Amino acid sequence: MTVPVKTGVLRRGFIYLARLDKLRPVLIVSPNVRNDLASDVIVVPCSTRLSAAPTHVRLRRGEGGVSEASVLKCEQIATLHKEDIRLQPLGGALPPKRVLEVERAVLRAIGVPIPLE
Amino acid sequence: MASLRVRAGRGAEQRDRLAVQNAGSQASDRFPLLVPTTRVVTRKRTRHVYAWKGMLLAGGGMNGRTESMTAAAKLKVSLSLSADVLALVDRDARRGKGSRSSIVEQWLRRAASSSVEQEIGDATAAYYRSLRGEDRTEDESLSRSLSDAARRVARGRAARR
Repeated sequence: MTVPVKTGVLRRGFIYLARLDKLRPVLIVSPNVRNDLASDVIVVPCSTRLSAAPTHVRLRRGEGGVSEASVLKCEQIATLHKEDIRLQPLGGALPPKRVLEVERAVLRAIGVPIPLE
Repeated sequence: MASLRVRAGRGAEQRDRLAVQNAGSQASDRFPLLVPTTRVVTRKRTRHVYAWKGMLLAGGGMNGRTESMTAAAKLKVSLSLSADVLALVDRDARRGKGSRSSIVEQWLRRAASSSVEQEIGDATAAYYRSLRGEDRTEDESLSRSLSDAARRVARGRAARR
């Protein structure tokens, strides 16, 4: 089932562009209640350098709206001010399976021994 | 056999503090094949939860004393252990650290967890050692920009106070 794209709000599981070292896609992982009320959001940044690591999650081209195959670098999870993020998501929500992979990779990044897939 | 009463809390906080009581004479006294099993959480009702003993045994389940109502389903398996290893298990069992099953499970979990940690550690080290040229540059510039972003968030919070 395709989750409709919402504009003007930041939603968990969607990818947005953020002003970082350059304009870079980031996946929002903070819960929506927080995204609505706080002035910042928790994100996992994306890179097109497809290096494999226990804390990286691969995205296929088009997944979540990314223009080319990418990796989510879960070891670089960060809190960004909403002003640093463009409110328009790049595409639809990531599939739940992929979000679960991200959650597991984030846990690995903080030292929780989650087995590798 | 004592039955199990699971009392649901009224609110979210209370739900986490479910009162599990041994309630004495209950349905399992009247129906000996019924044994208490895992909890059912409902907001408004107190429920007595039972399962057929036969089914539990088929699943290798919680026959005998039930210590944790939140335990995952268990499978009954047969293992062959060396006498010296079994002696170590029994030593811990005598020291009150649990049943043979729970001690073996704890040890296996610890070993499995340690092996996963090792595997993740090796793969992480391999990744960072493999970073060269543009990969390393990008990793560093992303780190710096994320730190700047974190500082902006912190400044924003301080300004609101």
